[in-house]
Amino acid sequence: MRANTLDARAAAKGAAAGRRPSDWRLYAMLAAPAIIVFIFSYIPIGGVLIAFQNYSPDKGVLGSEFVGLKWFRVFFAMPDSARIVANTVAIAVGKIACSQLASVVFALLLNEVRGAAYKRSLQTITYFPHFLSWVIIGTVFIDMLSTRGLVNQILGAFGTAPKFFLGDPRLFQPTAVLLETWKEFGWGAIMYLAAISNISPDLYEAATIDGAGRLKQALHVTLPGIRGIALMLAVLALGGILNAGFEQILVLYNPSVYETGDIVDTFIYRYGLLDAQFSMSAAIGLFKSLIGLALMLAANWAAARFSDYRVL
Amino acid sequence: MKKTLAIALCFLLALAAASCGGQPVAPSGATSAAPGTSATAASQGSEPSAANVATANGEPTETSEKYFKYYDDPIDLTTHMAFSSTWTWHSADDNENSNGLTRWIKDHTNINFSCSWNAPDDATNTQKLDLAFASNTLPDVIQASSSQIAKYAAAGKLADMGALIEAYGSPLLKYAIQEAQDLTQGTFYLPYSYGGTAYALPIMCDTLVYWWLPYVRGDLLDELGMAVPSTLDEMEAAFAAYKEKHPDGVALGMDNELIGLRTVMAGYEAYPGSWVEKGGQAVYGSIQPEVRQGLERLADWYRKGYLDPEFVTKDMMQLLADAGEGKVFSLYTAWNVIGGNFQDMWANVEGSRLEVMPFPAGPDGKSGIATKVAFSPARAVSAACEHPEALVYLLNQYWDSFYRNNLELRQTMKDKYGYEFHYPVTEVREEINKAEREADPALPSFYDYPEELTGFGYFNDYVSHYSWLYGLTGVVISVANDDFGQVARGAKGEMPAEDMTVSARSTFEGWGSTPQGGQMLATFAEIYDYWEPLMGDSQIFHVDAFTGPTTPAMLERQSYLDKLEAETFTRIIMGTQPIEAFDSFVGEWLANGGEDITREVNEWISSASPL
Repeated sequence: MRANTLDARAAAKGAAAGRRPSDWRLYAMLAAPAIIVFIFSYIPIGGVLIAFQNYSPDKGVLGSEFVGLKWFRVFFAMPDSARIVANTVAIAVGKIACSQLASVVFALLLNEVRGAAYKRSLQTITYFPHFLSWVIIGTVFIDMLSTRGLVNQILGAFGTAPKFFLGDPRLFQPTAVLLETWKEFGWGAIMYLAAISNISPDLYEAATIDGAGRLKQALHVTLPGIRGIALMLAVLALGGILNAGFEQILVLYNPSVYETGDIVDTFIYRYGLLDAQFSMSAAIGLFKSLIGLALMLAANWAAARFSDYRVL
Repeated sequence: MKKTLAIALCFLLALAAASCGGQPVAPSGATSAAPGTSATAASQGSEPSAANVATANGEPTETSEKYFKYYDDPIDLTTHMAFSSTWTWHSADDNENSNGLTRWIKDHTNINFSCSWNAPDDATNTQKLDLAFASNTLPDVIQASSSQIAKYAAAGKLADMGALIEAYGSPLLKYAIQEAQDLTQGTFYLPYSYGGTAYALPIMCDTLVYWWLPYVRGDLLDELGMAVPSTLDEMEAAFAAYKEKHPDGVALGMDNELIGLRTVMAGYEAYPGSWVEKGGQAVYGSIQPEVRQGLERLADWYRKGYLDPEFVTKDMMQLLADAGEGKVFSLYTAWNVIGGNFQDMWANVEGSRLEVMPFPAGPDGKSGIATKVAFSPARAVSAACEHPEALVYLLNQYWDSFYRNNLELRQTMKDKYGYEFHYPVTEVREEINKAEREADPALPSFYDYPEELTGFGYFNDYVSHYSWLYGLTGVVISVANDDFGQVARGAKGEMPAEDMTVSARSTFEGWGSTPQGGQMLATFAEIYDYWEPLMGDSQIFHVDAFTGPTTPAMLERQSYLDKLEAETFTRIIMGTQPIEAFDSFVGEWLANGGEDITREVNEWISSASPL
């Protein structure tokens, strides 16, 4: 990250001086992703117009009748919209916090493991679930979390009464958060491990000479070393505060937990895909993006203000 | 929504059962031809693949031949379809754009019939169609649900199907439609009409698609020394006895879409999800006080452990899989599961036997069920299609060939409508790969008809195998019905197979030759005997009062109201909400769009007139 920034600065300086013959190569390399982003992320922005229309595919984006903020009003007039937004934020915040924390802790622990083969296999095993679809994992967990499933059998051994994790509104959110954390913490730890490996060995040597043990080294060298990455990931994650994990929720939820489990994306799914309400879906999607953007900018500002670290 | 899914599921199951049963449901009452006709047919079967098809087939009258068109310049007609990875073509070189059927169409009508896409399943197909609509690239011929048709028609994307059929349809096609109108009290086109115009021709299928009913395990009843329950109280007694002996079993099957609650609701004459007449007005069934009683009963049964405590995590497929393992005592499902999961049950669970459990009578001794008109999906023609009449010509061809062996129909059409069949009566031959097909029912049938003897998909199994895909199937409901009547009589030993129509016999023998054929036929006979009279019983059997397209308020609110209903009903049954939650549900339903929807539904009913 820092290295990139330095490169960029150097490049900028070179450009200003007007004599860095290799610059065009850098720009050429940048062109492909820029074109892709332009085509797939910028051009479709025009489509948000339909959020303010009674969109009819027949008349097209330019011909449809404008209705102002009607769809936003319809959404917020729904008796369950506040609950849906609250569920989304609760689940998303829980997931961001838990999986980041688990990733950092796991990376720190893994960093202390000495056997290279052991370390690598641990890492592979833990990030493997990331590649599995929720449709598959969900089926397994629906079975494991049933009242007669494995989890309840283990809890039963400690004398706990069986719990219906996916059918009890109070338990649904924690269950969803924990499952997501289980699935993603290994993957998330990769970033931190990379950051840890970038920390200069000199710092550890100096700390050892100063008499720091492994714990002190982890706390005073490793943790500050990955602070930048952690902040960046947190700031970026806030942009997705209204993304509570559509696929997972769709697979796991059911009518008995709508109260705590229905999120913005499942709402959009039901309206947009099942009922083909393009304008309504676009309006809610736009709302989601705006909230995400605002939160990300705020977090970036706070990070710069309080820890002198700027992501954007 | 729930109902649509149920019907879609039923349709899928019908296909599954069809492929299991040796012979699909599609072929109708083709009367066996007199011996010797095959020779005649074969000798005159030198049909040229040119415009003058008319004269090649004997002596059809001038007037009938105008319904069969050969385009002088080839035209293109696009459509779309869904078939799974297990689909098999007749030859390895065939695909959705080139196969026996499309080649036949090309030769005889000069139409290039091709697919804009094929989807792996119906849900994907539906989505793709919506996307094609959104991007203004609808295929020429589409198959769509009622709400899709309404949406597309409102956007001006569909041709006037009623007018097309009026102008180009053959008397045979019109006769079949009239028959369907009569059987549905004139509501045949209504789900696909918009502003008084019919935009789609429903795919006609057998009334069997209505046949959802409760079943109970007869062998377990014997074990308990009990008779088949006929009231809610008797059901409860049987459940209690069953749970005592089988504490881990499920007494009443229930799925996460609550399709299974209909058994209990029938006892209270409650019609959740349907529109019913009440005091001269159509009202929404789910908010009526009868539903409250039904839910109270179900909550009580859930508390007593008669339902699977985790039914919310299981859909109908999983419930049926459980039933296949013998874990379910009674459940409500479609008739054609006898060709699906029940086969597993008969095979795996020693001595298992199914009985039809009549819809139970409630406290006042009555019961009632309501159902939507089940003809779905429907085929429509895009407004952008250059030759909208081509589909009607195809249907004329197809139906003529399809019913060619129905001597009675031939006579009726000739006498009453002056319509001469285009295709001759043809000897129906046995498939030549019967043994292979028994080993692998997914294989298509092969016949040794002479190559030059053709007919729109009549031979080489195109009729049943491909016509589903291309949406050309035309099972005229009443004609098909007696096939199943004969199968039922055969199963009871009242009719020897030799006396049946060819297709009834092939269904009868096909089903009988499956590993669980005896059980399957016996259960089918029971279902048939139960439902056949029930359909005519207007005290018990009601057709949904609203068969119109989605109304504006529904578009805006239905999704929320459906969620509210599913959530409330599920939680009341599971006991996480008290029964009083039903009262607030009713208030909330009315206040949040339900009143508008009710008004629109009633406006539609008063304005709708049979077309």
